[in-house]
Amino acid sequence: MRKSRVHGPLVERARRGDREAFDALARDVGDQCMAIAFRILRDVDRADDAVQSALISAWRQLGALRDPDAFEPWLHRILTNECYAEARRRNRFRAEIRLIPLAAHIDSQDILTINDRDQLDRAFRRLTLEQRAVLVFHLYVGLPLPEVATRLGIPLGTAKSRFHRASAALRASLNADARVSANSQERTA
Amino acid sequence: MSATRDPDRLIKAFLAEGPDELSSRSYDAVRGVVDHTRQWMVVGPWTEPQIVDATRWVLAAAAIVMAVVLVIRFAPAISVGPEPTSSPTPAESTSASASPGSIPTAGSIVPSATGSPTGAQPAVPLPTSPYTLVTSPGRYVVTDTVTRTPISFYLPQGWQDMQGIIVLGEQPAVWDNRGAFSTWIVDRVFQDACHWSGTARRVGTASELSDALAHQSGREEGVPQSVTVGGVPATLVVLSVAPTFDETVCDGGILRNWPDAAGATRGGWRSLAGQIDSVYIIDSPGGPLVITASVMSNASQADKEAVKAMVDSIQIGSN
Repeated sequence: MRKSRVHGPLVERARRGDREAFDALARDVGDQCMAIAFRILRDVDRADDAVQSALISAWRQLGALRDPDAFEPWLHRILTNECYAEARRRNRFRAEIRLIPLAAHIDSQDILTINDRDQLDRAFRRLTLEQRAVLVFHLYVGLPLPEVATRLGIPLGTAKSRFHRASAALRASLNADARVSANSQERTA
Repeated sequence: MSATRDPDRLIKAFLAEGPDELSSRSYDAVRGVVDHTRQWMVVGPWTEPQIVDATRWVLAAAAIVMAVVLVIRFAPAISVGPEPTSSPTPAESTSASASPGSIPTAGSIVPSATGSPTGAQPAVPLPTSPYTLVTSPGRYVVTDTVTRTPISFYLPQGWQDMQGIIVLGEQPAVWDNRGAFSTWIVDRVFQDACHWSGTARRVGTASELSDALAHQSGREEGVPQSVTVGGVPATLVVLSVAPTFDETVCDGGILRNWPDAAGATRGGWRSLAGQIDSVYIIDSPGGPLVITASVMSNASQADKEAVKAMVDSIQIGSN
């Protein structure tokens, strides 16, 4: 996914209060922000709210951004914090949604089987938000871990540790696939 | 292990799935806020002060002197002897005092393998992920943690569960689909659906909610009707929005009927121009229990009938 764009001129104009420039900037980065936010939150509406909040925060705080070429990493940090806030804000009240696997339906043309998807989804939702963020920026956005650490404002060791734990949990969920599938069959009997 | 079972590849494939576009409505909402929001003034740029070594020593010495003075000044106040017994501190509670707000009552959703529109049986599991097509028709039940009132319904092929909102269609966003069905506990409603900011007011009973929705400004008025849904008495309020309605004039560019649990600026139940929401309201111990069945005014007859069939199949309190 990694696409780094140069936003400097638009950022410069937006910093001076040019709303048209900010609108263009938002439309340039919004899709990527949505993709990232969804993958951290696994919820379209929450991701949508987080992106909107991040863009509005970015507009308000744009004057504090010293290097216009650093707009994207700066926005990603705001976005990640908005994702954390969004998840915590709503978790207090949200009804619990139990995720249950479907009896196997395997499409041989697809890399992921339904069971893979379900096991990964369950395991992913058990990760902390901070682990999810590292995983998404590293494996989905395609940033190296030192850049992920910088972008999220955490030490490299912390980024490595979160990534290791997150990927281990996801791998373990795939290894448990057969067992869970068997249990699922048992419950449906 | 074959190449296709490489865990890293599977994890990357999993992460690659999902939406990667922000809707134009969201861009418009951001633009709407930006147009009325000033940027923060920044005084600076902020720089780290350059402190020479001598200055560091002077500051350190001053800090030590200040600390000594404070200790001497407040020494008598420091008690000596056994610590006083502290009174028990109540455990922090967010749920007891905080209002749950309006929440989709998506709890456990389980279908019946052989369910029919009129039967209710417990069931084989349903896959729920953000976009899970319901591949096996059957009777499903939603139970929530607030009312503990099971609501079951027959779900035919072609519907999918989107985090608690059941939609007719296969698009990744709720509003891009052809119909929707959802259940809520609603305790606040906007007095004005269009200029909703700051107009949320609390409702405690089904009649208060139906009255508030029927008279909600910013949309066409609805008339409460007494009906029976799922075998229990309910009030139906049909909320409709004219197809020509311009949502961009509304707060945040959206029309909102009630806010979400956290009172966020965009959550809760919203309507689009041309949307028709049949809102069924039932009194429950946890507050007004709401079932929405929605279609667009230009929906096909088949889609309208599909949504109506969902409502007709509802059973409440039986599992």
